[in-house]
Amino acid sequence: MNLVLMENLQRYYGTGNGGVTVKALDGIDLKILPGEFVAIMGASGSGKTTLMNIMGCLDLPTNGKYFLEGIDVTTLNPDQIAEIRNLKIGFVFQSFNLLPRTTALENVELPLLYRRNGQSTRAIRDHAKEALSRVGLEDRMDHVPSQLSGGQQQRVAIARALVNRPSLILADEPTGNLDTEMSLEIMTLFQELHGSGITIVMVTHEPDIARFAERKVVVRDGKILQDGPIPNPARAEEVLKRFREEHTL
Amino acid sequence: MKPTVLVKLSFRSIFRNRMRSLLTTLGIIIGVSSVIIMVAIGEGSQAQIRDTINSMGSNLLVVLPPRGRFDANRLTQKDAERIRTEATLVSAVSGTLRRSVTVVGGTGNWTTTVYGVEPDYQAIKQWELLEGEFLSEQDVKSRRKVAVIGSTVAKNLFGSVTGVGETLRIGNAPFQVVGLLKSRGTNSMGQDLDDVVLVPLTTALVRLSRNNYLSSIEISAISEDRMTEAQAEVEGILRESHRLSDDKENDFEILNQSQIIEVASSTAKVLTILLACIAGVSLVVGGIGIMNIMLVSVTERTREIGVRLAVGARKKDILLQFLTESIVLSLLGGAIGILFSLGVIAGLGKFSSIRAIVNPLFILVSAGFAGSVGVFFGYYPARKASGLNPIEALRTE
Repeated sequence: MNLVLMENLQRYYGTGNGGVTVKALDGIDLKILPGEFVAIMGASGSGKTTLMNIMGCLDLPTNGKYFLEGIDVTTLNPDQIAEIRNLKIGFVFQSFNLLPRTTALENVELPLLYRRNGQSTRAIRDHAKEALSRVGLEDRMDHVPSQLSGGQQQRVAIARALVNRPSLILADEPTGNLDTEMSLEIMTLFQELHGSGITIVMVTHEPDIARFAERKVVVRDGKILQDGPIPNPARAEEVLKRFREEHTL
Repeated sequence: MKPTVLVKLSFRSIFRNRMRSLLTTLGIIIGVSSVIIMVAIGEGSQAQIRDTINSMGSNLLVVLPPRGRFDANRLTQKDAERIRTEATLVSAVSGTLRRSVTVVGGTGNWTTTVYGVEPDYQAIKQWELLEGEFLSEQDVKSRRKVAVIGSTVAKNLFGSVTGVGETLRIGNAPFQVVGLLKSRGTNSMGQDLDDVVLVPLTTALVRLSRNNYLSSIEISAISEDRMTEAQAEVEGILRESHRLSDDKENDFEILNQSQIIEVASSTAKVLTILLACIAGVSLVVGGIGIMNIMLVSVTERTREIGVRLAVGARKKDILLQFLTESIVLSLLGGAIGILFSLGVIAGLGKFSSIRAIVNPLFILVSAGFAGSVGVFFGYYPARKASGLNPIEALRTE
């Protein structure tokens, strides 16, 4: 079954009183299978962020259908959509979006606190610790974001995205605020997660980052311009190793 | 989200901005504590009024000349006598004549109030003697020139709280002091209860009055719950004594002690309500302060709200989070206000003569009121927070 199925998806932003209508998405057909690692590329204003928002159930299409794991999202009420965001989707943002003055552990606990069948405080804590150790930050649990480097903050964000074992990780320019080495670390982590079967959709405008994915979807003017597999994706771990060798000399 | 988590979150957010939270709750603190203090003082003064009136005598009925028409006075010693012999629901009766007179004693003279009374007066006013004895039946019958004096009068006439056996002069007549009253101090209206000279009613009527009419007849009813019946009985006897036909109005007036208390404390009650209302206004102002700071908080935390929505918070979760925060804030303010007011009231009791009575129920009510201020003024900001669009909220800097 398709994890993501979009049929003739349109998203218009109207100025309302007879003004100009902006067609952010203008007929998108897209299928993503479980276990894929997709890079969505496009210039700014191409509609890739809108596509991502709809895929993450933060926004609804004006026309067309969007099925997530077979569920027609356009027919759900706001509370049901919130539950989908909670259980099926994990977000990773360009600017990390961690809660300030809140420890890494508590940031990771956040999605668990909004689960409807609330777990015990203990179980929540254990889950969050597990997610943090998965991104290699078990020794930074009690640090607040301002005590962490950009790469570490993004890894906390990834742990937060992972903690509810979602069907889909959505990353919006995850390396946009990071230097080359940290970017490569994050891509190494993404490839690792992908290797363990997690579906990742990543929006980026950097070809250097997109080459680590397995499939590339190019968006322009609200339409899909190109969609195909990336032959021989680069191995982020190796690129990182080479980068470190070059820079430690 | 679980309630415990919500409350924990609220405390964290409140203590993160300690100074701001304190200043915000100041309005509630002042509001709650002033309401409690005002009401406590109001209830205290009502109790004080009650005590003052009770100190006038026990189960007291006072017969007075008709209101505003002292020239129409027809109260006589005979009326008092009839009440004493005919009424079944009264335990003591005394006619009185009151005059402000300058009396002359061993070491000085003093302007005081001279009361012509009958022996029952002691029981009605529950007056105890320090020395000597009270006026007797015989003193009244024989129109003796004897007097019982209060301690203020004793001090001014004889230089100390003594005087039994001494002589004082009222007008030109010498009176022998036979008793000294035990001091009762001042009542809440500042009246010195010891500034009195008591003489036999018959003597007073001859020496101090040009006619035979009394200032009042003071009566003790046999019990508190039969005062209304006693009043009716006295009224009937007096109407008969004055030969009033059924179509005529009373030519006297009867005051009932419980009515006097009611009238006097109703003024205090109105004042209490007024003060509490003014204090209540400051509580509302405090609530507006909370609303204001919650609105600022929502704006500051727009991005946080966006993150929470993105990870699966429902509108309701966000609404509850901010609502809980404002309720916790108001309740904290209320708690501080209650503690503060209890401190002030304890201080008043210790360092001043102002009496304040704390009603525990009222403390609960004001805590509840503080909480509802939180709900009322927190709802709008919380509503605003929960209505945010997650995409725009995440984009906010």
